[in-house]
Amino acid sequence: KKMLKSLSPSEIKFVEEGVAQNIRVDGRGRLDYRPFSLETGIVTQANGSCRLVLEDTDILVGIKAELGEPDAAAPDCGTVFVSVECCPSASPEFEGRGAEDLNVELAKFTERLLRASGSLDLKSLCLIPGRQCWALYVDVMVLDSAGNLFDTISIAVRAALATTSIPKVNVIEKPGNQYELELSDDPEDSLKVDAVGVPVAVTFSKIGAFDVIDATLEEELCLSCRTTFAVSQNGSFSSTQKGYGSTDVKSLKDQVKIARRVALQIIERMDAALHTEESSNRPKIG
Amino acid sequence: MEVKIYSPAALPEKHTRQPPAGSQIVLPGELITSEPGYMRGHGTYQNEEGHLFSCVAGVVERVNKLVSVRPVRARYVGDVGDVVVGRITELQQSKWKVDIAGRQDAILQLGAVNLPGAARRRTIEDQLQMRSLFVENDVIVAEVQSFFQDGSVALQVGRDMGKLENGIFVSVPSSLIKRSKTHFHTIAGAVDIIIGMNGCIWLSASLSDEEKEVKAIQGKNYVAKPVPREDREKIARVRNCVAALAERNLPIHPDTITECYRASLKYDPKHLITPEVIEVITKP
Repeated sequence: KKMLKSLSPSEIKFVEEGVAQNIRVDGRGRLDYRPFSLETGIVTQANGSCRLVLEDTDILVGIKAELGEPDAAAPDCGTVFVSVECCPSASPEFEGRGAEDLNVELAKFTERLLRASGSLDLKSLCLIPGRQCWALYVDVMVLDSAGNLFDTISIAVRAALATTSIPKVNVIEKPGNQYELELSDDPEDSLKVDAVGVPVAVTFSKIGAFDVIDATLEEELCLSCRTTFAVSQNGSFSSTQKGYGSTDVKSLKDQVKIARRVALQIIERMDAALHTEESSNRPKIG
Repeated sequence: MEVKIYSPAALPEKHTRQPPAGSQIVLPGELITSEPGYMRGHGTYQNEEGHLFSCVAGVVERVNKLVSVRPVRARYVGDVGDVVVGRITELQQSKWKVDIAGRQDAILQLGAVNLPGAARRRTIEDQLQMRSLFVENDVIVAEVQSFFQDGSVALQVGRDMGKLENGIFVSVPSSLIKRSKTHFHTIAGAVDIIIGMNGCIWLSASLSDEEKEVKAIQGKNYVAKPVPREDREKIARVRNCVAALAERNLPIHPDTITECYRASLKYDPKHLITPEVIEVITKP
Protein backbone atom coordinates (compact mmCIF):
# COMPACT_ATOMS: atom_id res chain seq x y z
CA LYS A 1 0.00 0.00 0.00
CA LYS A 2 2.92 2.34 0.54
CA MET A 3 3.76 3.66 -2.89
CA LEU A 4 3.87 7.35 -2.24
CA LYS A 5 7.01 9.34 -2.63
CA SER A 6 5.48 12.00 -4.81
CA LEU A 7 2.35 12.71 -6.82
CA SER A 8 2.04 13.53 -10.51
CA PRO A 9 1.43 17.23 -11.37
CA SER A 10 -2.10 16.33 -12.49
CA GLU A 11 -2.94 14.73 -9.11
CA ILE A 12 -1.49 17.73 -7.25
CA LYS A 13 -3.64 20.08 -9.34
CA PHE A 14 -6.73 17.95 -8.59
CA VAL A 15 -6.03 18.13 -4.84
CA GLU A 16 -5.40 21.91 -4.97
CA GLU A 17 -8.60 22.60 -6.89
CA GLY A 18 -10.58 20.45 -4.47
CA VAL A 19 -9.13 22.25 -1.45
CA ALA A 20 -10.01 25.61 -3.05
CA GLN A 21 -13.63 24.43 -3.41
CA ASN A 22 -13.63 23.16 0.19
CA ILE A 23 -14.12 19.54 -0.82
CA ARG A 24 -11.13 17.31 -0.28
CA VAL A 25 -10.49 13.92 -1.86
CA ASP A 26 -12.38 12.09 0.90
CA GLY A 27 -15.24 14.61 0.95
CA ARG A 28 -14.01 16.48 4.04
CA GLY A 29 -13.98 20.24 4.28
CA ARG A 30 -10.70 22.04 4.92
CA LEU A 31 -11.26 22.08 8.68
CA ASP A 32 -12.67 18.57 9.13
CA TYR A 33 -10.82 15.97 11.18
CA ARG A 34 -10.77 12.25 10.46
CA PRO A 35 -12.22 10.04 13.24
CA PHE A 36 -9.68 8.27 15.42
CA SER A 37 -9.50 5.94 18.43
CA LEU A 38 -7.53 6.26 21.67
CA GLU A 39 -6.66 3.35 23.90
CA THR A 40 -4.64 3.76 27.09
CA GLY A 41 -2.97 1.43 29.57
CA ILE A 42 -2.07 -1.18 26.95
CA VAL A 43 1.62 -1.48 27.81
CA THR A 44 1.43 -2.75 31.38
CA GLN A 45 5.22 -2.62 31.84
CA ALA A 46 5.09 1.14 31.38
CA ASN A 47 3.82 3.68 33.87
CA GLY A 48 1.52 5.02 31.18
CA SER A 49 0.77 4.25 27.56
CA CYS A 50 -1.54 5.11 24.72
CA ARG A 51 -2.29 3.90 21.23
CA LEU A 52 -3.87 6.24 18.70
CA VAL A 53 -5.25 4.90 15.42
CA LEU A 54 -6.38 7.43 12.78
CA GLU A 55 -7.06 5.72 9.45
CA ASP A 56 -3.63 4.23 8.73
CA THR A 57 -1.70 6.39 11.22
CA ASP A 58 -0.80 4.19 14.19
CA ILE A 59 1.01 5.81 17.13
CA LEU A 60 2.15 3.98 20.26
CA VAL A 61 3.35 5.97 23.28
CA GLY A 62 5.01 4.44 26.34
CA ILE A 63 5.92 6.43 29.46
CA LYS A 64 8.45 5.25 32.03
CA ALA A 65 9.11 7.07 35.29
CA GLU A 66 12.57 6.66 36.78
CA LEU A 67 14.44 8.29 39.61
CA GLY A 68 16.86 10.93 38.41
CA GLU A 69 18.55 14.21 39.19
CA PRO A 70 16.85 17.52 38.46
CA ASP A 71 18.32 19.99 36.02
CA ALA A 72 20.65 22.53 37.72
CA ALA A 73 18.57 25.36 36.24
CA ALA A 74 15.34 23.99 37.78
CA PRO A 75 16.23 22.17 41.00
CA ASP A 76 12.64 21.93 42.22
CA CYS A 77 11.26 20.34 39.08
CA GLY A 78 11.18 16.88 37.62
CA THR A 79 12.50 16.20 34.13
CA VAL A 80 10.90 14.91 30.94
CA PHE A 81 12.59 13.47 27.85
CA VAL A 82 10.91 12.59 24.58
CA SER A 83 12.12 10.27 21.85
CA VAL A 84 10.29 9.54 18.62
CA GLU A 85 10.93 6.65 16.29
CA CYS A 86 9.22 6.45 12.91
CA CYS A 87 9.36 2.78 12.02
CA PRO A 88 10.99 2.10 8.65
CA SER A 89 8.02 -0.07 7.73
CA ALA A 90 5.64 2.87 8.08
CA SER A 91 6.60 4.67 4.88
CA PRO A 92 9.18 4.39 2.09
CA GLU A 93 10.77 7.68 3.16
CA PHE A 94 11.46 6.27 6.64
CA GLU A 95 13.73 3.53 5.35
CA GLY A 96 17.36 3.61 6.38
CA ARG A 97 18.28 7.01 7.78
CA GLY A 98 15.41 8.77 6.04
CA ALA A 99 13.45 9.27 9.23
CA GLU A 100 16.32 10.72 11.30
CA ASP A 101 15.51 14.38 10.70
CA LEU A 102 11.80 13.79 11.15
CA ASN A 103 12.36 11.84 14.39
CA VAL A 104 14.43 14.69 15.81
CA GLU A 105 11.96 17.39 14.73
CA LEU A 106 8.97 15.51 16.20
CA ALA A 107 10.83 14.71 19.43
CA LYS A 108 12.09 18.25 19.96
CA PHE A 109 8.67 19.72 19.26
CA THR A 110 6.91 17.34 21.65
CA GLU A 111 9.53 17.98 24.32
CA ARG A 112 9.00 21.74 24.04
CA LEU A 113 5.26 21.13 24.34
CA LEU A 114 5.73 19.27 27.62
CA ARG A 115 8.37 21.54 29.13
CA ALA A 116 6.49 24.78 28.45
CA SER A 117 5.20 26.53 31.54
CA GLY A 118 1.64 25.62 32.41
CA SER A 119 1.95 22.29 30.63
CA LEU A 120 3.06 19.31 32.73
CA ASP A 121 3.21 20.01 36.44
CA LEU A 122 6.92 19.28 36.79
CA LYS A 123 7.10 20.68 40.31
CA SER A 124 4.97 17.79 41.55
CA LEU A 125 7.64 15.40 40.26
CA CYS A 126 10.30 16.79 42.58
CA LEU A 127 11.33 14.56 45.50
CA ILE A 128 14.37 16.22 47.09
CA PRO A 129 15.08 19.67 45.61
CA GLY A 130 18.41 19.72 43.85
CA ARG A 131 19.02 16.03 44.54
CA GLN A 132 16.29 13.66 43.39
CA CYS A 133 13.25 13.87 41.18
CA TRP A 134 11.14 11.77 38.87
CA ALA A 135 12.36 11.67 35.27
CA LEU A 136 9.65 10.87 32.74
CA TYR A 137 10.82 9.12 29.59
CA VAL A 138 8.24 9.46 26.83
CA ASP A 139 8.85 7.04 23.96
CA VAL A 140 6.79 7.46 20.82
CA MET A 141 6.68 4.89 18.05
CA VAL A 142 5.08 5.71 14.73
CA LEU A 143 4.05 2.24 13.56
CA ASP A 144 2.31 3.43 10.41
CA SER A 145 1.63 6.83 8.89
CA ALA A 146 -1.31 8.33 7.00
CA GLY A 147 -0.15 11.89 7.55
CA ASN A 148 -0.64 14.37 10.39
CA LEU A 149 2.08 13.14 12.73
CA PHE A 150 2.61 16.28 14.86
CA ASP A 151 -1.01 16.48 15.97
CA THR A 152 -1.57 12.77 16.55
CA ILE A 153 1.66 12.43 18.54
CA SER A 154 0.71 15.35 20.79
CA ILE A 155 -2.76 13.87 21.37
CA ALA A 156 -1.41 10.37 22.10
CA VAL A 157 1.26 11.74 24.45
CA ARG A 158 -1.31 13.83 26.33
CA ALA A 159 -3.59 10.79 26.70
CA ALA A 160 -0.71 8.61 27.89
CA LEU A 161 0.38 11.21 30.45
CA ALA A 162 -3.19 11.66 31.68
CA THR A 163 -3.28 7.96 32.54
CA THR A 164 0.29 7.67 33.88
CA SER A 165 0.66 6.66 37.48
CA ILE A 166 3.84 6.94 39.53
CA PRO A 167 4.43 5.09 42.81
CA LYS A 168 4.18 7.21 45.96
CA VAL A 169 7.52 7.99 47.54
CA ASN A 170 8.19 8.59 51.22
CA VAL A 171 11.24 10.79 51.80
CA ILE A 172 12.93 9.92 55.11
CA GLU A 173 15.49 12.40 56.40
CA LYS A 174 18.60 10.85 57.87
CA PRO A 175 21.42 12.41 59.90
CA GLY A 176 24.32 13.98 57.99
CA ASN A 177 22.11 15.47 55.23
CA GLN A 178 21.33 12.00 53.93
CA TYR A 179 17.98 10.94 52.59
CA GLU A 180 16.30 7.61 52.12
CA LEU A 181 13.55 7.08 49.59
CA GLU A 182 10.85 4.58 50.39
CA LEU A 183 8.81 3.48 47.42
CA SER A 184 5.41 2.05 48.17
CA ASP A 185 5.03 -1.64 47.21
CA ASP A 186 1.31 -1.38 46.73
CA PRO A 187 0.52 -0.73 43.04
CA GLU A 188 -2.69 1.00 44.07
CA ASP A 189 -0.74 3.49 46.15
CA SER A 190 0.24 5.79 43.32
CA LEU A 191 -0.05 9.32 42.06
CA LYS A 192 -1.59 10.30 38.76
CA VAL A 193 0.49 12.71 36.73
CA ASP A 194 -1.24 16.05 36.30
CA ALA A 195 -1.55 16.36 32.53
CA VAL A 196 -4.54 18.72 32.36
CA GLY A 197 -2.37 21.59 31.11
CA VAL A 198 -0.59 19.58 28.41
CA PRO A 199 -1.32 21.22 25.05
CA VAL A 200 -2.51 19.62 21.84
CA ALA A 201 -0.95 20.50 18.47
CA VAL A 202 -2.92 21.63 15.43
CA THR A 203 -1.03 21.62 12.13
CA PHE A 204 -2.00 23.66 9.10
CA SER A 205 -0.88 22.52 5.67
CA LYS A 206 -1.04 25.19 3.01
CA ILE A 207 -2.28 23.72 -0.29
CA GLY A 208 -2.55 26.33 -3.01
CA ALA A 209 -3.98 29.43 -1.31
CA PHE A 210 -5.79 27.61 1.51
CA ASP A 211 -4.94 25.80 4.72
CA VAL A 212 -6.20 22.35 5.68
CA ILE A 213 -5.94 20.58 9.00
CA ASP A 214 -5.43 16.83 9.48
CA ALA A 215 -3.75 16.39 6.12
CA THR A 216 -3.48 12.93 4.56
CA LEU A 217 -0.18 11.61 3.19
CA GLU A 218 -1.25 12.64 -0.32
CA GLU A 219 -2.15 16.15 0.84
CA GLU A 220 1.16 16.49 2.67
CA LEU A 221 2.85 15.91 -0.70
CA CYS A 222 0.98 18.94 -2.11
CA LEU A 223 1.68 21.45 0.63
CA SER A 224 3.71 24.60 0.23
CA CYS A 225 4.00 25.40 3.93
CA ARG A 226 3.33 23.68 7.25
CA THR A 227 2.67 25.55 10.51
CA THR A 228 1.83 23.97 13.86
CA PHE A 229 0.31 25.57 16.95
CA ALA A 230 0.13 24.00 20.41
CA VAL A 231 -2.92 25.08 22.45
CA SER A 232 -3.77 23.99 25.98
CA GLN A 233 -7.11 23.51 27.70
CA ASN A 234 -7.35 27.08 28.98
CA GLY A 235 -6.99 28.35 25.40
CA SER A 236 -3.42 29.62 25.72
CA PHE A 237 -0.72 29.00 23.13
CA SER A 238 2.44 27.34 24.35
CA SER A 239 4.49 26.88 21.20
CA THR A 240 4.52 27.09 17.45
CA GLN A 241 6.56 25.40 14.80
CA LYS A 242 6.99 26.25 11.19
CA GLY A 243 8.13 23.44 8.97
CA TYR A 244 8.82 23.47 5.30
CA GLY A 245 7.88 26.58 3.30
CA SER A 246 6.88 30.19 3.97
CA THR A 247 3.60 31.79 4.98
CA ASP A 248 2.11 35.28 5.48
CA VAL A 249 0.84 37.18 8.50
CA LYS A 250 -2.85 37.13 7.50
CA SER A 251 -2.74 33.33 7.27
CA LEU A 252 -1.11 33.11 10.70
CA LYS A 253 -3.84 35.28 12.25
CA ASP A 254 -6.59 33.08 10.79
CA GLN A 255 -4.76 29.92 11.78
CA VAL A 256 -4.43 31.07 15.39
CA LYS A 257 -8.21 31.47 15.73
CA ILE A 258 -8.92 28.10 14.13
CA ALA A 259 -6.18 26.31 16.10
CA ARG A 260 -7.76 27.39 19.39
CA ARG A 261 -11.23 26.22 18.34
CA VAL A 262 -10.02 22.85 17.05
CA ALA A 263 -7.63 22.14 19.93
CA LEU A 264 -10.26 22.90 22.58
CA GLN A 265 -12.71 20.57 20.87
CA ILE A 266 -10.11 17.81 20.65
CA ILE A 267 -9.21 18.23 24.33
CA GLU A 268 -12.86 18.13 25.39
CA ARG A 269 -13.64 15.03 23.29
CA MET A 270 -10.45 13.29 24.29
CA ASP A 271 -11.07 13.78 28.00
CA ALA A 272 -14.59 12.41 27.48
CA ALA A 273 -13.25 9.34 25.63
CA LEU A 274 -10.66 8.70 28.37
CA HIS A 275 -13.36 8.99 30.98
CA THR A 276 -15.53 6.45 29.11
CA GLU A 277 -12.58 4.10 28.91
CA GLU A 278 -11.80 4.40 32.60
CA SER A 279 -15.36 3.59 33.59
CA SER A 280 -15.71 0.70 31.16
CA ASN A 281 -13.32 -1.58 33.11
CA ARG A 282 -12.12 -3.39 30.02
CA PRO A 283 -9.53 -6.10 30.81
CA LYS A 284 -6.01 -4.89 30.02
CA ILE A 285 -3.87 -6.97 27.69
CA GLY A 286 -0.11 -7.41 27.83
CA MET B 1 -17.45 18.75 11.29
CA GLU B 2 -17.01 17.60 14.81
CA VAL B 3 -13.91 15.77 15.88
CA LYS B 4 -14.87 12.16 16.60
CA ILE B 5 -12.72 10.33 19.11
CA TYR B 6 -13.50 6.69 19.88
CA SER B 7 -12.53 4.49 22.73
CA PRO B 8 -11.98 1.00 21.29
CA ALA B 9 -14.52 -0.21 23.86
CA ALA B 10 -17.13 2.00 22.21
CA LEU B 11 -16.47 1.18 18.53
CA PRO B 12 -19.52 -0.24 16.71
CA GLU B 13 -19.79 -4.00 16.59
CA LYS B 14 -18.54 -5.29 13.20
CA HIS B 15 -20.83 -7.82 11.56
CA THR B 16 -18.92 -11.04 10.84
CA ARG B 17 -19.24 -13.41 7.93
CA GLN B 18 -18.94 -17.18 8.15
CA PRO B 19 -16.39 -18.91 5.91
CA PRO B 20 -17.94 -21.30 3.35
CA ALA B 21 -18.65 -24.77 4.77
CA GLY B 22 -15.80 -27.22 4.52
CA SER B 23 -13.09 -24.61 4.09
CA GLN B 24 -10.01 -24.95 6.25
CA ILE B 25 -8.41 -21.73 7.42
CA VAL B 26 -4.83 -22.04 8.61
CA LEU B 27 -2.20 -19.86 10.21
CA PRO B 28 1.56 -19.95 9.55
CA GLY B 29 3.06 -23.00 11.24
CA GLU B 30 -0.24 -24.83 11.54
CA LEU B 31 -0.41 -28.51 10.68
CA ILE B 32 -2.49 -29.22 7.58
CA THR B 33 -2.20 -32.98 7.44
CA SER B 34 0.12 -35.64 8.82
CA GLU B 35 -0.98 -38.25 6.27
CA PRO B 36 1.72 -39.22 3.79
CA GLY B 37 1.34 -39.09 0.04
CA TYR B 38 0.39 -35.44 -0.41
CA MET B 39 2.41 -33.13 -2.63
CA ARG B 40 3.24 -29.73 -1.22
CA GLY B 41 2.10 -26.71 -3.22
CA HIS B 42 2.52 -22.98 -2.68
CA GLY B 43 2.35 -21.75 0.87
CA THR B 44 3.25 -25.09 2.48
CA TYR B 45 6.34 -26.86 3.77
CA GLN B 46 7.17 -30.29 5.19
CA ASN B 47 9.06 -31.21 8.33
CA GLU B 48 11.43 -34.21 8.68
CA GLU B 49 8.54 -36.61 9.25
CA GLY B 50 6.83 -35.50 6.07
CA HIS B 51 3.95 -33.71 7.80
CA LEU B 52 2.54 -30.80 5.84
CA PHE B 53 2.46 -27.36 7.46
CA SER B 54 1.25 -24.02 6.23
CA CYS B 55 3.67 -21.13 6.04
CA VAL B 56 1.12 -18.40 5.30
CA ALA B 57 -2.24 -17.38 6.73
CA GLY B 58 -4.94 -18.46 4.31
CA VAL B 59 -7.31 -21.09 3.02
CA VAL B 60 -6.26 -24.65 2.20
CA GLU B 61 -6.83 -25.72 -1.40
CA ARG B 62 -6.67 -29.35 -2.45
CA VAL B 63 -6.47 -30.52 -6.06
CA ASN B 64 -6.20 -34.32 -6.06
CA LYS B 65 -2.99 -34.91 -4.14
CA LEU B 66 -1.67 -31.37 -4.39
CA VAL B 67 -2.18 -29.31 -1.24
CA SER B 68 -1.54 -25.58 -1.30
CA VAL B 69 -2.54 -22.60 0.81
CA ARG B 70 -3.96 -19.50 -0.82
CA PRO B 71 -2.81 -16.56 1.31
CA VAL B 72 -5.30 -13.95 2.54
CA ARG B 73 -3.00 -11.06 1.76
CA ALA B 74 -0.13 -11.29 -0.70
CA ARG B 75 1.67 -8.97 -3.07
CA TYR B 76 0.25 -8.78 -6.57
CA VAL B 77 1.83 -11.41 -8.81
CA GLY B 78 -0.03 -10.93 -12.07
CA ASP B 79 -1.24 -12.86 -15.07
CA VAL B 80 -0.84 -12.14 -18.77
CA GLY B 81 -3.69 -9.92 -19.89
CA ASP B 82 -4.34 -8.26 -16.52
CA VAL B 83 -5.16 -4.58 -16.62
CA VAL B 84 -3.12 -2.74 -13.99
CA VAL B 85 -2.76 0.82 -12.76
CA GLY B 86 0.75 1.87 -11.83
CA ARG B 87 3.05 4.79 -11.14
CA ILE B 88 6.21 5.54 -13.15
CA THR B 89 9.22 5.45 -10.84
CA GLU B 90 12.16 5.72 -13.19
CA LEU B 91 13.14 6.41 -16.78
CA GLN B 92 15.84 4.25 -18.28
CA GLN B 93 17.16 3.91 -21.79
CA SER B 94 14.13 3.05 -23.95
CA LYS B 95 12.10 1.75 -21.02
CA TRP B 96 10.21 2.93 -17.94
CA LYS B 97 10.07 1.29 -14.52
CA VAL B 98 6.56 1.18 -13.12
CA ASP B 99 5.52 0.53 -9.52
CA ILE B 100 2.51 -1.82 -9.65
CA ALA B 101 2.52 -2.75 -5.95
CA GLY B 102 4.07 -6.11 -6.74
CA ARG B 103 7.26 -7.68 -5.46
CA GLN B 104 9.27 -5.83 -8.08
CA ASP B 105 8.76 -2.82 -10.30
CA ALA B 106 7.32 -3.68 -13.71
CA ILE B 107 9.02 -2.72 -16.96
CA LEU B 108 7.34 -0.83 -19.78
CA GLN B 109 9.46 -0.95 -22.91
CA LEU B 110 9.33 1.96 -25.33
CA GLY B 111 8.33 -0.39 -28.11
CA ALA B 112 5.36 -1.62 -26.08
CA VAL B 113 3.70 1.78 -26.04
CA ASN B 114 1.08 2.13 -28.73
CA LEU B 115 1.81 5.54 -30.18
CA PRO B 116 -0.89 7.27 -32.19
CA GLY B 117 -0.40 6.73 -35.88
CA ALA B 118 0.69 3.56 -37.65
CA ALA B 119 2.92 1.09 -35.84
CA ARG B 120 6.54 1.77 -36.61
CA ARG B 121 10.00 0.91 -35.33
CA ARG B 122 11.28 3.03 -32.50
CA THR B 123 14.13 5.35 -33.43
CA ILE B 124 16.74 7.30 -31.51
CA GLU B 125 14.47 10.36 -31.64
CA ASP B 126 11.78 8.37 -29.85
CA GLN B 127 14.24 7.42 -27.12
CA LEU B 128 15.10 11.04 -26.53
CA GLN B 129 11.41 11.99 -26.54
CA MET B 130 10.40 9.49 -23.85
CA ARG B 131 9.70 12.29 -21.41
CA SER B 132 7.00 13.64 -23.67
CA LEU B 133 5.10 10.41 -23.12
CA PHE B 134 5.51 9.48 -19.44
CA VAL B 135 7.54 11.11 -16.70
CA GLU B 136 8.35 10.06 -13.10
CA ASN B 137 5.29 9.94 -10.79
CA ASP B 138 2.81 9.78 -13.69
CA VAL B 139 -0.02 7.30 -13.17
CA ILE B 140 -0.68 4.99 -16.11
CA VAL B 141 -3.06 2.18 -16.98
CA ALA B 142 -1.45 -0.70 -18.83
CA GLU B 143 -1.78 -4.39 -19.52
CA VAL B 144 0.49 -7.26 -18.50
CA GLN B 145 2.14 -8.45 -21.69
CA SER B 146 4.47 -11.14 -20.37
CA PHE B 147 6.98 -11.96 -17.65
CA PHE B 148 10.73 -11.72 -17.50
CA GLN B 149 12.95 -14.54 -16.30
CA ASP B 150 13.11 -13.11 -12.78
CA GLY B 151 9.32 -12.94 -12.49
CA SER B 152 8.98 -9.20 -13.05
CA VAL B 153 6.15 -8.03 -15.23
CA ALA B 154 6.47 -6.63 -18.74
CA LEU B 155 3.72 -4.12 -19.46
CA GLN B 156 2.23 -2.87 -22.68
CA VAL B 157 0.13 0.23 -23.27
CA GLY B 158 -2.57 -0.41 -25.81
CA ARG B 159 -5.23 1.79 -27.32
CA ASP B 160 -7.47 3.43 -24.64
CA MET B 161 -4.63 3.11 -22.15
CA GLY B 162 -1.85 5.40 -21.08
CA LYS B 163 -1.42 8.36 -18.77
CA LEU B 164 -4.22 9.01 -16.28
CA GLU B 165 -5.01 12.57 -15.32
CA ASN B 166 -7.64 14.67 -13.52
CA GLY B 167 -8.51 12.08 -10.95
CA ILE B 168 -7.44 10.34 -7.79
CA PHE B 169 -5.43 7.22 -7.11
CA VAL B 170 -6.67 4.73 -4.49
CA SER B 171 -4.89 1.61 -3.33
CA VAL B 172 -6.59 -1.51 -1.94
CA PRO B 173 -5.31 -5.05 -1.32
CA SER B 174 -5.03 -6.89 -4.64
CA SER B 175 -6.71 -9.99 -3.20
CA LEU B 176 -10.04 -8.12 -3.18
CA ILE B 177 -10.07 -7.68 -6.97
CA LYS B 178 -11.52 -10.44 -9.13
CA ARG B 179 -10.86 -10.77 -12.83
CA SER B 180 -13.73 -9.58 -14.99
CA LYS B 181 -14.44 -8.89 -18.67
CA THR B 182 -13.58 -5.23 -18.44
CA HIS B 183 -11.88 -3.13 -15.80
CA PHE B 184 -13.17 0.21 -17.02
CA HIS B 185 -16.53 1.08 -15.47
CA THR B 186 -18.74 4.04 -14.65
CA ILE B 187 -20.43 4.24 -11.26
CA ALA B 188 -23.77 6.03 -10.94
CA GLY B 189 -23.29 7.44 -14.43
CA ALA B 190 -20.90 10.07 -13.14
CA VAL B 191 -17.64 8.57 -11.88
CA ASP B 192 -15.26 6.67 -14.14
CA ILE B 193 -13.38 3.95 -12.32
CA ILE B 194 -10.48 1.81 -13.51
CA ILE B 195 -10.03 -1.20 -11.23
CA GLY B 196 -6.52 -2.53 -11.72
CA MET B 197 -5.99 -6.21 -10.94
CA ASN B 198 -3.08 -5.12 -8.76
CA GLY B 199 -5.41 -3.33 -6.35
CA CYS B 200 -4.61 0.14 -7.70
CA ILE B 201 -7.72 2.07 -8.66
CA TRP B 202 -8.19 5.31 -10.59
CA LEU B 203 -11.26 7.49 -10.10
CA SER B 204 -12.15 10.44 -12.29
CA ALA B 205 -15.19 12.40 -13.37
CA SER B 206 -16.97 11.00 -16.43
CA LEU B 207 -16.76 13.17 -19.50
CA SER B 208 -19.88 14.01 -21.46
CA ASP B 209 -20.01 12.77 -25.06
CA GLU B 210 -19.24 16.24 -26.43
CA GLU B 211 -16.27 16.58 -24.13
CA LYS B 212 -14.97 13.16 -25.22
CA GLU B 213 -15.16 14.31 -28.86
CA VAL B 214 -13.26 17.49 -28.08
CA LYS B 215 -10.60 15.44 -26.31
CA ALA B 216 -10.29 13.03 -29.25
CA ILE B 217 -9.89 15.89 -31.71
CA GLN B 218 -7.42 17.95 -29.68
CA GLY B 219 -5.36 14.94 -28.60
CA LYS B 220 -2.16 16.10 -26.95
CA ASN B 221 -3.27 19.73 -26.80
CA TYR B 222 -6.38 18.90 -24.80
CA VAL B 223 -6.61 20.71 -21.48
CA ALA B 224 -9.30 19.32 -19.19
CA LYS B 225 -11.90 21.63 -17.68
CA PRO B 226 -11.65 21.97 -13.88
CA VAL B 227 -13.86 19.41 -12.15
CA PRO B 228 -17.00 21.03 -10.66
CA ARG B 229 -18.06 20.57 -7.05
CA GLU B 230 -20.94 18.12 -7.64
CA ASP B 231 -18.63 15.78 -9.52
CA ARG B 232 -16.03 16.03 -6.76
CA GLU B 233 -18.65 15.03 -4.21
CA LYS B 234 -19.52 11.97 -6.27
CA ILE B 235 -15.87 11.03 -6.67
CA ALA B 236 -15.37 11.44 -2.91
CA ARG B 237 -18.40 9.24 -2.30
CA VAL B 238 -17.10 6.46 -4.56
CA ARG B 239 -13.64 6.79 -3.04
CA ASN B 240 -15.06 6.39 0.46
CA CYS B 241 -17.21 3.42 -0.61
CA VAL B 242 -14.15 1.69 -2.04
CA ALA B 243 -12.21 2.44 1.16
CA ALA B 244 -15.09 1.07 3.26
CA LEU B 245 -15.25 -2.16 1.24
CA ALA B 246 -11.48 -2.56 1.55
CA GLU B 247 -11.64 -1.90 5.28
CA ARG B 248 -14.20 -4.73 5.65
CA ASN B 249 -12.33 -7.05 3.28
CA LEU B 250 -15.18 -7.24 0.79
CA PRO B 251 -14.62 -7.79 -2.95
CA ILE B 252 -14.15 -4.61 -4.96
CA HIS B 253 -16.30 -4.93 -8.04
CA PRO B 254 -18.59 -2.45 -9.82
CA ASP B 255 -21.64 -4.28 -8.43
CA THR B 256 -20.46 -4.12 -4.81
CA ILE B 257 -19.35 -0.51 -5.24
CA THR B 258 -22.71 0.47 -6.76
CA GLU B 259 -24.61 -1.26 -3.94
CA CYS B 260 -22.47 0.48 -1.36
CA TYR B 261 -22.91 3.78 -3.22
CA ARG B 262 -26.71 3.48 -3.11
CA ALA B 263 -26.62 2.71 0.61
CA SER B 264 -24.39 5.72 1.16
CA LEU B 265 -26.65 8.28 -0.51
CA LYS B 266 -28.41 9.23 2.73
CA TYR B 267 -25.08 10.36 4.21
CA ASP B 268 -22.79 13.26 3.41
CA PRO B 269 -19.67 11.95 1.60
CA LYS B 270 -17.46 13.09 4.47
CA HIS B 271 -19.40 11.02 7.00
CA LEU B 272 -18.64 7.83 5.09
CA ILE B 273 -15.27 7.59 6.85
CA THR B 274 -16.73 7.09 10.32
CA PRO B 275 -16.90 3.51 11.69
CA GLU B 276 -20.69 3.51 12.27
CA VAL B 277 -21.46 4.55 8.72
CA ILE B 278 -18.93 2.13 7.23
CA GLU B 279 -20.76 -0.62 9.09
CA VAL B 280 -24.13 0.45 7.66
CA ILE B 281 -23.09 0.85 4.03
CA THR B 282 -21.19 -2.44 3.89
CA LYS B 283 -23.97 -4.58 5.34
CA PRO B 284 -24.83 -7.36 2.88
